[in-house]
Amino acid sequence: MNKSEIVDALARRLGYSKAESKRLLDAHLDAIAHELAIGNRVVIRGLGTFDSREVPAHRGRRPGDGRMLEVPARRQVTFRAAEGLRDAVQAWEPGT
Amino acid sequence: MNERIFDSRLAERIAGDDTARRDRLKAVARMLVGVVRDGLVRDGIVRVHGFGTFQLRPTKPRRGINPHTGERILIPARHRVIFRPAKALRERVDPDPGLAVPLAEPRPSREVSPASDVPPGEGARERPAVAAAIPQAVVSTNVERAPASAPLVESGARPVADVGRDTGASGEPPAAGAAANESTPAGEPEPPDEGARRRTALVALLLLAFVAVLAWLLWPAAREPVPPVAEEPATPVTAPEGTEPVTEAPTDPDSLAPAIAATPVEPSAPEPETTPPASEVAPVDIPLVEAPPAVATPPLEISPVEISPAEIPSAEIAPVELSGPLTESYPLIFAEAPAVDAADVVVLEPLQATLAALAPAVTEGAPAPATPPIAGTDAPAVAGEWSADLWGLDERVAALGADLDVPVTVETAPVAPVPSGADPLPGAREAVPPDTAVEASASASEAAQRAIAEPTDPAAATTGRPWFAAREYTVQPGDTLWGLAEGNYVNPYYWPHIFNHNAATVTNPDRIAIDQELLLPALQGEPAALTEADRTSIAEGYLRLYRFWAVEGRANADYALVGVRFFDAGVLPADLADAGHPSDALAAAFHAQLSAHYSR
Repeated sequence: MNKSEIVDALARRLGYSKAESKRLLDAHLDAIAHELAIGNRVVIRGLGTFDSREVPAHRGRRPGDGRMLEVPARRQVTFRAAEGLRDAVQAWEPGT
Repeated sequence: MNERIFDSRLAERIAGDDTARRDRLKAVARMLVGVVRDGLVRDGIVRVHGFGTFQLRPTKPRRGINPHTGERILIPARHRVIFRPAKALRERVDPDPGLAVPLAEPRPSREVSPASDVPPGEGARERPAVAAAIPQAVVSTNVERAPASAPLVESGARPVADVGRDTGASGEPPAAGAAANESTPAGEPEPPDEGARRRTALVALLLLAFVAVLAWLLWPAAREPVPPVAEEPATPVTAPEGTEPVTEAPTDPDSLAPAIAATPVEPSAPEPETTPPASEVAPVDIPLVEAPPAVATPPLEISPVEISPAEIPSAEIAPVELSGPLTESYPLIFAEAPAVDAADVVVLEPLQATLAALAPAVTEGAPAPATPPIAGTDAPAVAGEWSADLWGLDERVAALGADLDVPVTVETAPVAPVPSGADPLPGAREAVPPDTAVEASASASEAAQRAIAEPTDPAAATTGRPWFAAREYTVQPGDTLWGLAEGNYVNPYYWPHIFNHNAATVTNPDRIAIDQELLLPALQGEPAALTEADRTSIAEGYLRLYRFWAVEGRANADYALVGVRFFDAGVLPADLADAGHPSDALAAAFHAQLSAHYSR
């Protein structure tokens, strides 16, 4: 499923136009990104929690050639699915 | 900062006072949940351009321990929801993440002398980069973490004569110390950056000191006053320089400080080696390296790469494929029967000979999760059992393989309906000597009491009691035929066996009542080596399932016939046995799927 399908589904379920649905969805995504960027945590009930965490500098290996790398500290987006979503997706059957 | 923003507040922040828009935004957030959920269930993936990707990732079933009760449980396979942020989102959250900087040569080069490994030009180019990369990260953190080692910087820069004296004082062979003295002037380069050189030296110092101490402790031979003539020219010196500090420097105990002085000359050596005069320098270094050569391997053992596989054993033993009934594959479920003894690792082999060829023996000694309570066996086993299972598995597999040749027949338990002539090797029963037979019946009744048999007990196998002796069972809340089959027969796909033997009381296999009495029929053979009788009964159960589903008008009724074909196509009535029947194609497709699965 991609974004345009999401927009279609939203428009169908809510009765808005697709353009309006897309605007509203984009506004949401933009707001989530903004809150994450300023260090907040965003809870979408039923979907999950978006958060960011500091990943400290560490050493790793480049998978291709096994070289040691000094990986600098960075900020990473994390997502933890809501319980309802976690349960619901167990119905997925791979390969279908 | 660090607030929790809920979706409703998010909408308020976006829309401000525009209540109409706010309500629409809230509605979108509410609906979005369902849309994403449906997308995940349908496709397993939802891509939101410019934001990120939600994806389902299957996890394998694994063994765990209930933290409350200490009970060992099988954590079933699940789908995990992961989210990968899109580039745009990553960049917004962390606008300037920086680049990963290569630290050093790839590990393999340590075995090879740098002269042969790195073309001179390239080596010369790379060295400065390494030196530049290391300082900020490696060295500085080392100094911070182990302040006690800070003075070492000094010792590294000390006059060589001092170094030599220290070497002798710290218990190293005097000869080595003297050799160090001689070689140092030759090894002393004129590095462009004094600070970088010293830091590199410090790192190498820490490492080599550690190595030297290790050698001194572990290799008594290294303490011999006369050091052996060096066999490896200078190789160990260069190798650790880049890669080792990473893994070992932090672990250097402060107590090593005196010993560290023993090896201060090394760090200067690696640098000149890649430069043209290397050929002259390397030979002179030989005596220096004497202590390390004996130790050439220890650093390898200590590196984290070697350490981490400690977790591997558990990972190796977790491969179980659990899937919906008949929709994807027949499972080769390898679960531990709920038994008391340690000897209950059950290994299933593929259920058909053809499949046996395809399927590598996947094994899993795991406790059955929803095991129905079994009288007398509810005290489940000792903790040590687990490790025994883990490590004894291979031998057990072999032992089982030997056992499987023995036909298992029953004397005390009801026998499943057997088509005439289906008993595999009838002669085997007579082959049992009389006295063993007596013993057998005694042990068989004992087994019936415990309601479980030990597949690995050779005596049991040879004396012909069923692998699982039939018994009555009272349905408990939460029980299913599937679960009962898994708990008692190991393989849940054998559940129609129970269904088939309780035809009078169970009409709808999806509905069994609490406190209902069920007969758990005997399983003659091992779960991995069913007898004809077992297979026939299971096939009949699947046929009953087909009839039930067909009456209910279920769309997937034909799947039940796949089960029939799988276990014993002989029970199919003529109209269903037709090769053109849909279930035939399904069975073929299923076999293909299973084959593909195991050839992976």
